[in-house]
Amino acid sequence: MTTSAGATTNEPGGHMPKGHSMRGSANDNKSASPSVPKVSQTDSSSSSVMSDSVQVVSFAPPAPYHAKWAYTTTDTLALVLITLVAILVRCYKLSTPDKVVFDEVHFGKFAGKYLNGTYFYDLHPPLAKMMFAAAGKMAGYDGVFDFKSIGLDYIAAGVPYVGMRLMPALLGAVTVPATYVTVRACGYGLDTGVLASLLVCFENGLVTQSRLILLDSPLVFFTVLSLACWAMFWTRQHAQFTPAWWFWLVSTGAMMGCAASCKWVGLFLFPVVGLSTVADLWDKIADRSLTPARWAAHFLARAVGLILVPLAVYLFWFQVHFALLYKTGDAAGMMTTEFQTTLAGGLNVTTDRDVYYGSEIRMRTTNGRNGYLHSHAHAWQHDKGSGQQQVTIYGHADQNNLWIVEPAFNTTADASNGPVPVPKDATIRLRHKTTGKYLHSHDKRPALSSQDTKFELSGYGFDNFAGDSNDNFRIEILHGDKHSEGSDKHVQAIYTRFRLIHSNLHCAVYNSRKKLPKWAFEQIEVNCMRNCMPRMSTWHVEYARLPSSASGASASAEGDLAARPQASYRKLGLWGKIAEYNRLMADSNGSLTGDHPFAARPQHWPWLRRGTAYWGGRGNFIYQHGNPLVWWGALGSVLLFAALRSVLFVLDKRRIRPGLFGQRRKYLSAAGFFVVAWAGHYVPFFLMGRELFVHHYFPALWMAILVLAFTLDLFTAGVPRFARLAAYFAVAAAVLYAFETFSYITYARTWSKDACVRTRWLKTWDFDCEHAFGGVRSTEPPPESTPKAEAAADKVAAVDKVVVDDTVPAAAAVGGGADAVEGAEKARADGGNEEGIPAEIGVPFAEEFNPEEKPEEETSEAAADAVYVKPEYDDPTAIKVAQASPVQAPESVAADIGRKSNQPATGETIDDKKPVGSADDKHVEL
Amino acid sequence: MSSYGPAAPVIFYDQSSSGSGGNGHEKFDDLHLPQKPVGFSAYPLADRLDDDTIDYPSTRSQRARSRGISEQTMIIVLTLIAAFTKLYRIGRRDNVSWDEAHFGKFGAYYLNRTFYHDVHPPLAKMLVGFSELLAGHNGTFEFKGGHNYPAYVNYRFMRVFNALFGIALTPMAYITFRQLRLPMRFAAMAALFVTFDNAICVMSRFILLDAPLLGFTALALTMLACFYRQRSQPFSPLWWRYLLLTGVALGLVSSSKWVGLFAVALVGLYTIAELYEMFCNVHMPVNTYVRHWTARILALIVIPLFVYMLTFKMHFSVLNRYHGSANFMPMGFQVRLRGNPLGKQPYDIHTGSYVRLHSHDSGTGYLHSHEHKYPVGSQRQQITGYGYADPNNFWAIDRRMVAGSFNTAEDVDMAAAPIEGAIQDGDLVSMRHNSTSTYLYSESRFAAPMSSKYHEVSAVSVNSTEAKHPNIMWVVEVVKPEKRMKDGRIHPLGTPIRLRNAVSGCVLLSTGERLDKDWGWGQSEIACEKGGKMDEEHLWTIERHVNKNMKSTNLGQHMSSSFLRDFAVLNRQMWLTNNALIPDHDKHNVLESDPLTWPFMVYPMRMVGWDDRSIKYLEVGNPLLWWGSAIACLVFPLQVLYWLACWKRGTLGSRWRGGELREYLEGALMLWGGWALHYLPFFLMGRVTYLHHYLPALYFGILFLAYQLYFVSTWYLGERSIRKVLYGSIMLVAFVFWWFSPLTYGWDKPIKQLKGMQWASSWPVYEDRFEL
Repeated sequence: MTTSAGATTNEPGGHMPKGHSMRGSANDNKSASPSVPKVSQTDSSSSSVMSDSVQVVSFAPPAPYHAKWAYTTTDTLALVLITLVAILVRCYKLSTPDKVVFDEVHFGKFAGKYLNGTYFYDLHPPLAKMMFAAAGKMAGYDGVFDFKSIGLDYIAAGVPYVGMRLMPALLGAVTVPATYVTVRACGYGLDTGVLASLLVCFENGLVTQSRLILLDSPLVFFTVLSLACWAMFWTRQHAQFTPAWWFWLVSTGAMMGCAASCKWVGLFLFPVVGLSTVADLWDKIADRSLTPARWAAHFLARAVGLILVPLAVYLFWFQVHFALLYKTGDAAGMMTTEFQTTLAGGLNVTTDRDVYYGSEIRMRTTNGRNGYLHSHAHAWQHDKGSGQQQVTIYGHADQNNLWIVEPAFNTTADASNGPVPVPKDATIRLRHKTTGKYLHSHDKRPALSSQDTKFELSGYGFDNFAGDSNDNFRIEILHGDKHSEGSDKHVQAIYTRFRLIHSNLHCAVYNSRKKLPKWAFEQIEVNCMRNCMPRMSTWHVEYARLPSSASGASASAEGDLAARPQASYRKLGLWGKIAEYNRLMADSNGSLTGDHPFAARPQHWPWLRRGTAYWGGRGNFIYQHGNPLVWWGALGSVLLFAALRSVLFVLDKRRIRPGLFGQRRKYLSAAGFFVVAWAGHYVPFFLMGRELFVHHYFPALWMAILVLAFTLDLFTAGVPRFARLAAYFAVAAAVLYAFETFSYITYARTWSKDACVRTRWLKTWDFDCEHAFGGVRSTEPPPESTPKAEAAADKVAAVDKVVVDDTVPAAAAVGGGADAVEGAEKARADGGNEEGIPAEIGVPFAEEFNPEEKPEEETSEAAADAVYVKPEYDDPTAIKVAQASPVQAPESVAADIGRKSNQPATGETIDDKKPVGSADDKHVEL
Repeated sequence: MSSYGPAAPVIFYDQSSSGSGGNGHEKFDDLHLPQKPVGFSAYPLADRLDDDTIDYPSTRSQRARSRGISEQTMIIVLTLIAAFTKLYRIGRRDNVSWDEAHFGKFGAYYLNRTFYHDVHPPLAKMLVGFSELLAGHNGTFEFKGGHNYPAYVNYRFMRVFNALFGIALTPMAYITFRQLRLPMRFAAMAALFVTFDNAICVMSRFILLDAPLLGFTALALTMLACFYRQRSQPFSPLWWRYLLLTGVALGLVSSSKWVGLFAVALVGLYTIAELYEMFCNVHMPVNTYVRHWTARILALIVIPLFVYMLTFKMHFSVLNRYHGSANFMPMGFQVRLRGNPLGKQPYDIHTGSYVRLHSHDSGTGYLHSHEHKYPVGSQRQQITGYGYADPNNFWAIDRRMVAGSFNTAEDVDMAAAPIEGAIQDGDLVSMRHNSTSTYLYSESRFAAPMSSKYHEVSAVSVNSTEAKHPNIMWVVEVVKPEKRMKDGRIHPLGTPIRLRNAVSGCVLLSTGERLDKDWGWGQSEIACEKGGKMDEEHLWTIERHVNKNMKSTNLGQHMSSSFLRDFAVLNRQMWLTNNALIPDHDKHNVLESDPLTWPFMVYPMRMVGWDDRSIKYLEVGNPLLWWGSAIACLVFPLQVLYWLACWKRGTLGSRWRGGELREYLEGALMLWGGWALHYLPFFLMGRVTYLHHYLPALYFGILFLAYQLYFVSTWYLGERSIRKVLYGSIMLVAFVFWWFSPLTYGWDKPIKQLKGMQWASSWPVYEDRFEL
């Protein structure tokens, strides 16, 4: 008990006015020691001044320690000084190198696109990129230079790159005073505040990241500001619902919204702040002086400040984003048709609305985004196929996508009263316009699937042959459009969503989204699937026209034709656009895989296994690398906290309460909050399969640095003041020394090879000293530095594939034909090595969505099919390969597995980890 | 009663000498604390119910006082009702129905002793096998789906045997509730609820694994409840008995299906909570605490593991005939199976032997060549890895130089004729491809076609000039041979080897890449890597050895076998197989269902064909019980949250003081926790899921529903209304059970004649949703 009392007396920040706390010490001990309430009651009565003076909410997870921060002129002085230092550190040699570095390739380019209004797609939210665009605009960038590849010269191109880099540098500088504010608001003294801000200021990784046109500097800035505001909010607990209280609450929310609008990593702030809010509200329940209504007011205030405000901010930036990008661009093809129509110069389809027997139609797969039902005069070539004409899905509108609707086999439509519209549940045939074959299905396996529920689709028919009943498909209308009368009764272009059900096989025409082999021009497979879910078997007509000959109309009817009702895609509203964009971001984040040579998994981040090579020149280079002392210290203090907390937990349960130099409550709540925040920004990455880099650790790093400062404070709390200051100076000096040591690779300062090699403290630090003076590689490009293509969602891959369809002379570009250019550009950009750029390390990593180079995902089923080679004879005694998954996925029932596993395997299963045609250059080493 | 008096010697959980009552600020952790001074039992309710028989079910017969019905009578009556519902017309459909096709067959394997592989642990299937044995089946019927049972298969008996587990649910539910101190009539209500669920009923009436799984799950819960009841008397004989029985039940349930592990999790969480509470009790001597730990480790970890392993031991000893599905098992296991074609092969490998090499890299298969050239590199004949046994996998192995007689490539005498004799570790050999008469060859000039960092491996004709290069020579290196094959020579199966080229010193490996489909048929790339690595992809096993001049020996005697290894390999394979069951989201499968749809029974499942004449069974539960239990289970967290808030605020009434709430919460958490643990994990599973995966959770859910009915009605209602609730709900549930009984006991007329069965539009009673 004496420890508990001691804890309060020794609080440095303990100059709270007495009596503001309504809860008393019963709460103070909540998580710490539930079994001593009686004693703490006594305690509070005997020394109420002391125990009330600091109110701590330490229900797990702890909220920032909250004490009123008495702001003084010393604070002002300290803030001004450290801000100046920070600006100096961040802006030193900002103009070096005058070349495109690392991901400036992408984010510079995107900034340019904002300036000239061209639509693009990126898997990050827009705010940070728009900030770069604004910076570029102010600095005089015209959006012409395209940041094509790493190493391109800014000066020659006349790009005001310094102005653009100044923005992140200043944001980075602001994080330093913000750190000071946070630490002070957590109840720590001036010395600890200054120390923490110096640790942040002289952290090489943060410095590197904030000097370039990269998204992480804005992200870290907003993250830091969010938590600084949150800490400030906690200093206002004695004056709830005052303007200042509201200001810090809403600022927290706004900053969180901005952080999430830079990168989705910012979303990790929400569980962190949310947990501490829930803990606080939960504590408030115990306070019987708070009426339920008052409690509800607290709840609502936080819901507004921490949920509604961020959401509004996030949506606002998207609105700005869409307002700026009004022109269609290369990436438009990835969006839905409804989206594309909102872009100026984009998809603009107007077609006859009604589909009649005899109409020429072009059918688009509705949910797949990869194109039109297509056929061409080439035959299926797979083993189990029919050898009849191929039917595929193709991304571009051309003549071979046109089909003519005809009545079922052996029937005719009575066109005497004018053209007959195609009704619901009609049985029709589709005749391919250029080749005259009918869409056909039969009991043959499709090219890429072997299951017996999937059938090949082909074009079938020849002269003097009327066809057969296997050409019949029933139109099953799934739904119409409520704005278009009758679209659920008759087939209407664009408005009617339907499925094509084969009359004999009862299978639906299905978009399997798999890429066919070269002999089918790598178009997308379409087959006929039984028991098919509607999503990937839904189609709509995008173009319909009744030829005048087919309508049987005389010249007078031509006028009718012209007067026929038209249909066009309805434009997507703002909400729809935001929703679609975010869905796409989620998809592409999920499928982002790659093997960038400097990608790093989370377990390697905190102990600074290695950094990332950004750029290499002659005698100097940039390698994004942390300040090892800071990183290791931060990691150590986080682990120390975890260990200490566990020990305290156990001891508390056994009624032993160490006082931790009287710092117990302050340390546990403040460090506890930031350890939880650190974990919230770090642990989730382990669940992500996508490609990750060290820079994803920066928000968590900042939180860990605060814990480091708190820990240093804790261990110097018990010593005399001069010893404490001496210790702080020693830490600062060591950090400064390490900063200087690594500043060469941070600022691209020129240094010698010897110094460089000496600086490799760990073997795993692989900065390439050949770039330093004395290195031998100054004229050679690094070998094999071609990065692997970034992955993308397979659904959208096909649209932007440059497909050579030999039967089609020129692919008419309906939204996306120009992608070829983009593809070529991208390939060059990612190739990294333009001739004439002598030496660069640093492979650009295409972190944005890069549809061109995504290999179509091979499923194991397709792969197994593809490698199947008929055995020459079947050795019944053969022992089959022990495979990771010898059992095929079941067709119908769970217990199938038993039966199937008893049969010899019929197909060789490829280990999924080694997909067909995977990278041959995955062994890039620099 | 007397043993629970204030003078009870063992103060088990009491930890607070003062309590915190009176200040209106109880702490959350005080939830566990009784509010009475030291010396009082932790279980104030022990003397609350007069009709309670505390040490039930002991052998002592005690008469219950209410209504004069003894516990025994009640159990017998309930069991008879359950038996009737489960056995009525059980043999009506006389052909192989639903998954009987699988589990009947698996059972038959235990009779004909053929090895098989399945995702489930063996116990439940062994029980099926046991029932077949009792029924006089000889293991020849294959249980083809839909086939009629032949006369010599007494399927009725087998179904009855399986249904016994379903019947046992009823008395176990009753006992569980009695142990949780509910009065007899409400315990009977819970038992009847369990009896009158149509889904549990129909799934108990066929030869399936669901009934044993449910039975053992219920057994584990019952034993846990009995153990819970004993916890104020730790280390007493009854305490030990129920603790050990809990462990046995956990072993049984997890040996039936891995879903049983959720029951283990339930008991585990309960135990952790118990031990944590004791940890907070500073008055408990450390020795006692250690004893508590030891007892639980023994009973709840060691015993279940022992039972689980025992079932696998039995599985391995019964199934001793070879089948291809054993291919993933360790070779030492496989060669012991009777009828294994690899079991008998010539032991030593001599010059002139033909061998088939199998790569250790999974997915590569055999070292293979065929009459096709590489389009790149040397443009010589391809060497590939191929997954199927065919003649192109056979290589004649010739001994060229004896181990130790050469040091450098110059020593290699190209003209050296093959030397007779057994091939030893370190010997130089040539590998001649049998069907194309070529030598395995590697030259460092050429890079492998896909992985350029390796050397290419090719085949050169025996007549070509390359065949005279020393590049056709390979050093055989034995790596980690079987213990009993460590004689320096190479042998089939037991001596993994590396092949190191005599000239470049590179090691033959499978790179894991696939060759181009156009010229390499997508087969695996084989290459040669410089360096001395010993990864799986560098290792090869001689799987087949043919030498007409030599006698075959039984390789089993040279191979060691370890139960633990076999056990581990089989379990790993079960895990992989289980994970491979991934649903195709594009496909509509009437049988699969999403876990989200289970509690409210959105998609009942047709178990058999739906034509007019056949006897149709629908896996549809009793909607009252499903929906009721779902609501009860979903509302409970809110209820707890509300109480916690009240408790936190100090406004929880006097109920808490008496310990009544604590008693209630412990029972509720046990049942609700069982529901949550058996249900929520399914959301994390990528594999296909079916409606009957919910049945174990449903069992807990139904009990929880009954539990809530009892407590809510006793809190808020008078005796008359309580009685109304009690009998009313029993009648309603029984009526709905009867209403759906045609689909439970089989309907052999057109389904349209059966009116009123479709209680939700999504139910496939009359129409299938996405039938094309």
